[in-house]
Amino acid sequence: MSADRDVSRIVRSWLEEGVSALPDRVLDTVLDQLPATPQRRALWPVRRFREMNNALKLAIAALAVVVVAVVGINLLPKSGGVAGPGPSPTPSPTQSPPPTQIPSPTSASNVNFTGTYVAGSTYVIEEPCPPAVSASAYCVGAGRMTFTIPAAGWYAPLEAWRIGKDIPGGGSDLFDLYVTPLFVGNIYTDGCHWHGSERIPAVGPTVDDLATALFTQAGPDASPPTAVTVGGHAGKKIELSIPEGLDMTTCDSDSPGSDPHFGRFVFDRGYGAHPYLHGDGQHNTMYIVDVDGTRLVIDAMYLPGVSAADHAEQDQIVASIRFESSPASPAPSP
Amino acid sequence: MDAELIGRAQRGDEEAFASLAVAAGDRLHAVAFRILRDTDLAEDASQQALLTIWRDLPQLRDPARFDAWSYRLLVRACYAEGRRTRRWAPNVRLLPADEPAVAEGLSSVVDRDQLERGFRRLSLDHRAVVVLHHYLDLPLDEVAEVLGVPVGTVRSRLHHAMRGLRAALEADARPAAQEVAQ
Repeated sequence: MSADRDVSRIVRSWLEEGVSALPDRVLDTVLDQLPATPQRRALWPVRRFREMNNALKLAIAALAVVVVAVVGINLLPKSGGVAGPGPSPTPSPTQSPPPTQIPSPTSASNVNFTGTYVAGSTYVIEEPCPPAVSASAYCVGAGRMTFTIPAAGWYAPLEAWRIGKDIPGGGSDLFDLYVTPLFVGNIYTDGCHWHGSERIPAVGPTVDDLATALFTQAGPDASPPTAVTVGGHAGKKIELSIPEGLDMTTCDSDSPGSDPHFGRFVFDRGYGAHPYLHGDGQHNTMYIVDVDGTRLVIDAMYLPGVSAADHAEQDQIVASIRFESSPASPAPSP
Repeated sequence: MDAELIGRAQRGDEEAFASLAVAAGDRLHAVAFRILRDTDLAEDASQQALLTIWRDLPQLRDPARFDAWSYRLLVRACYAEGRRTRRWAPNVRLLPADEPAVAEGLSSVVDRDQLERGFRRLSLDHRAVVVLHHYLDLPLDEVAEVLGVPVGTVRSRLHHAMRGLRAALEADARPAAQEVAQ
């Protein structure tokens, strides 16, 4: 023990030595490059997928077809019939709640947690939604949202309310799947040419208003809204996707110099309106629910190539979501 | 770090970011140098980290976590430099000429050489844990948050790294001491 302390002391002393001042020329270089470096307000990291050559894309696309076919066959109802629009089961009014009871969160450290989630643990997000109806933000309303992590590998970044997972070799540097709670006050009418296309007046306040508006949004592929239940709250589910290989070069971009992309939601966290970005092959299952008067969106995103197991974990997280009153705030009046 | 300054920089205020960069630059560069053990690589990593901080700053959800967040981006930049250059082999000392001859607790130049060699043999993952914990004095749970790994992983990496450094100090200690004595 004493020897360990000695080594630590020596290492600490040694680390104190050496350079520490950042040369002015480095700082000047950084500041010179700011005008040419647009800030990124996406929910979504730069993707490596676009950097792949065509042969690799074709190979991955072929593999994806095989995987989807295998998964699709496995998901077909045993009594026959047609599989749903997505490759995975989603919560619905006809489905049973998760078989295991979700334990009540007892650790304060699990509230608004950042870092790597522990499998089997329940976490809490407490983040009020903005009062304005023209904006979107990460939030869960006046109360709190709990969810349970089914397996290892999921983490919460410092940057946003995401329950994310990065697949080694996947399409994203940060997330190949995530679940994130959103407040959506308005959307763009055109997903590709979204500049200046905010809906006026803003999309209506109900679940159906938003589901219908997303379904009719120009540009992206969208499934018809279907009934769903999340955390005991009825709502609508809609599947949004960007076809792989779609030419987005003519789409609008976030700022000069940044990549063109799709914009769906008018996004605002106090620094102006920004789009909700979609990339090549991205799929989002949007669960739109009314939670005690606040219309929330649970966005479950995945990129091409994620495994059926990872996708099932994502579904389990969504199925585990519960909404409850914050301990610090009184329960809503009936 | 000044939350108001961070807020302005998040909204695209370049002057505010310049103030942030001045305030954080030395600290980031010091950490980069200690992980990479190479002045040029550390400058490249610091430069890249500062530009990434500018680019992604609007996504930082809690300005109070700016320091931890910036360390995370810096460590990523160090990893990128490490992968790009692969210049880890030379066992040369890189201490500047104006460093103190003997630091408190560091008995001799032999210890420094042995530590330098031992540290360079560590992976970047292990180096980052040692620097964040023993240089920045971050508790292990904060190191885990910065690196985005479980605390248990941090503890394991730190144990492995310190064992390697201890072995480096002990290895050749007797012959080296005799050599110095001569």
